[in-house]
Amino acid sequence: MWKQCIINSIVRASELALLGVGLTLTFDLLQFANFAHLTLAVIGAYFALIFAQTLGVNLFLAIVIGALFTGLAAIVIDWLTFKRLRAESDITLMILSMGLSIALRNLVRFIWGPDIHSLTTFGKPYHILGTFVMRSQITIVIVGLVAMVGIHFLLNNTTLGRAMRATSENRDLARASGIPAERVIKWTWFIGGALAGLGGALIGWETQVYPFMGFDIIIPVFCAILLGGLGNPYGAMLGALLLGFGENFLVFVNFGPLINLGGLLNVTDGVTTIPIEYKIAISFFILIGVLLLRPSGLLGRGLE
Amino acid sequence: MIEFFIYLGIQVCIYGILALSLNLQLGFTRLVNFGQVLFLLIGAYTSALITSAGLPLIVGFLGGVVVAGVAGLMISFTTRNLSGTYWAIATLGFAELARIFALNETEFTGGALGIRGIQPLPFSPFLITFICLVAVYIISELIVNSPFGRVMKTIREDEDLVESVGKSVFKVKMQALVLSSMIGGLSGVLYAHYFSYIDPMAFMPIETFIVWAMVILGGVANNLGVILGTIIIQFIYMGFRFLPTGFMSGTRAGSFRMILIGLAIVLVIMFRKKGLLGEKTKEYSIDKIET
Repeated sequence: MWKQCIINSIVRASELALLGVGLTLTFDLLQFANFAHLTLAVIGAYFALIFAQTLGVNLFLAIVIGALFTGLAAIVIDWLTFKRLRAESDITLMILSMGLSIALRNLVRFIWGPDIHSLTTFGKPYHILGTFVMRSQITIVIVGLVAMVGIHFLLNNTTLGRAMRATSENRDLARASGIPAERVIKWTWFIGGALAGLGGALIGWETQVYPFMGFDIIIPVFCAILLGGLGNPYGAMLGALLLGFGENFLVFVNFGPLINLGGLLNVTDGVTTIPIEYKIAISFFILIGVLLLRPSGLLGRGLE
Repeated sequence: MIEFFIYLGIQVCIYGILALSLNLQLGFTRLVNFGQVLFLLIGAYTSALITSAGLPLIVGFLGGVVVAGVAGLMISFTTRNLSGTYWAIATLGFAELARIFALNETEFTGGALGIRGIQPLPFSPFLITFICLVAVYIISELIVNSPFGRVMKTIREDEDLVESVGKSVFKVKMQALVLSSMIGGLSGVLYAHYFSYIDPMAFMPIETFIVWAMVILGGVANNLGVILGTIIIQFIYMGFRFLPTGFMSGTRAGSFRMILIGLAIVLVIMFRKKGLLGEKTKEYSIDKIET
């Protein structure tokens, strides 16, 4: 039971990290919350579906190609919309991304219909140390780890990563020092989009592919990256890990003593846990709690 | 056909009230509320529960409006340190929390099955909703053209300026949010008693963004424009049922109209930021101020 919960938490954390890091990178560089980011995850899942099922490509290859195509789609979306409004306020861009997300996710639904698709047949789970683990879940964790290490090296050990950090710090200064800011932004969109596509395709493999799968996970992803500190990729990883475990373990915590104020009151008869139907609300509670108590997140630099 | 136009008219009135309430926040105070549907939900459920308990309709009306106002007040106090993006995400979270609550507290709210047989409006629903829309329009116009409305608009342009002349930005934002949430609650009350049936699916986050499309398309900070935007979006939304049969499947048509609504937001923001009707602004010349 506990072991299974730990496995589930790690898988969930990897998913949230894959989806959250890209979102936080674009936030860091362009200073707006991109609500269309998780629509890119849906697009990635459908690209993988096209390649794996319609074209009969090997599943792993299909997911990788799907992720690369999603990265390209992100660049095209930026070129068509956000690029023309670079100087606009964060609120305008956020509203634009919301409109885009509604249009794109319904475009997917228009083309493929509302039906639920599976990327592959339901495989037999592995038994490891008395737990059930799917092949897709092992892949998610490995890909998540590799991607996070990759992001770390990208930001610290490559010219592009240093240029990304410089551009996010001060776009005009970066441009003045000869950094091609627009090219850096383009690469960031590609990396963020590809990570989202990867995450979306992998979640689609683990569970199902349907048009609104991205919107169903938008609050947990925002919660994870806010928990760590918006705009900080390491914060997104930490937030994903904490939320992944939080979602799976908080339902076991007995809040009885807390509600009774350690014996001062007698509101409940000792055992009060979060009802299981409120599991999806845990991230909302954490999200609102973080925003109220420490809006800059655990690793945030603090709001102005 | 005439029934359809009456139905459309009632929808325009109910959502027009909600759009006007969003405009008070978004258009005049620049409060980016991504959870405006919360007030529709609270107004609808409060009034439905009150009248189901046997109390008269007017108590339900007042209750829905007051409880929505209290919710606005609570949100305002709890989120007082947040701004911009953070505030927007928090409001989205509050609205979804309320919906999950309505979905799961089955004994209290009927859960996914919702509440049936809500007391209907006493006479012509169109007349009632229309009177409410006109009243809300007049109240909104009075608010935004009052000294208080000018402070709201100044907050939108420059918060520091408002603080520098000794006005509390928080207090004005709080008052604007409470007024707006009460008006939003009214639209919820009308919704519940017109349809006589509510369930949590009617209060999904997407509803907020349909209302956003109405405000942005018609003209942010122009109340008449907002009503125009409501009419256009409702026409897009309802007009699809007149497509020839076999032209497009039901789900396709449902997706297509949402593509249009999403595109409307994108195109207006990219090419005509002030919307169809922009804000009415007065120009003051310098010599006029000096004399």
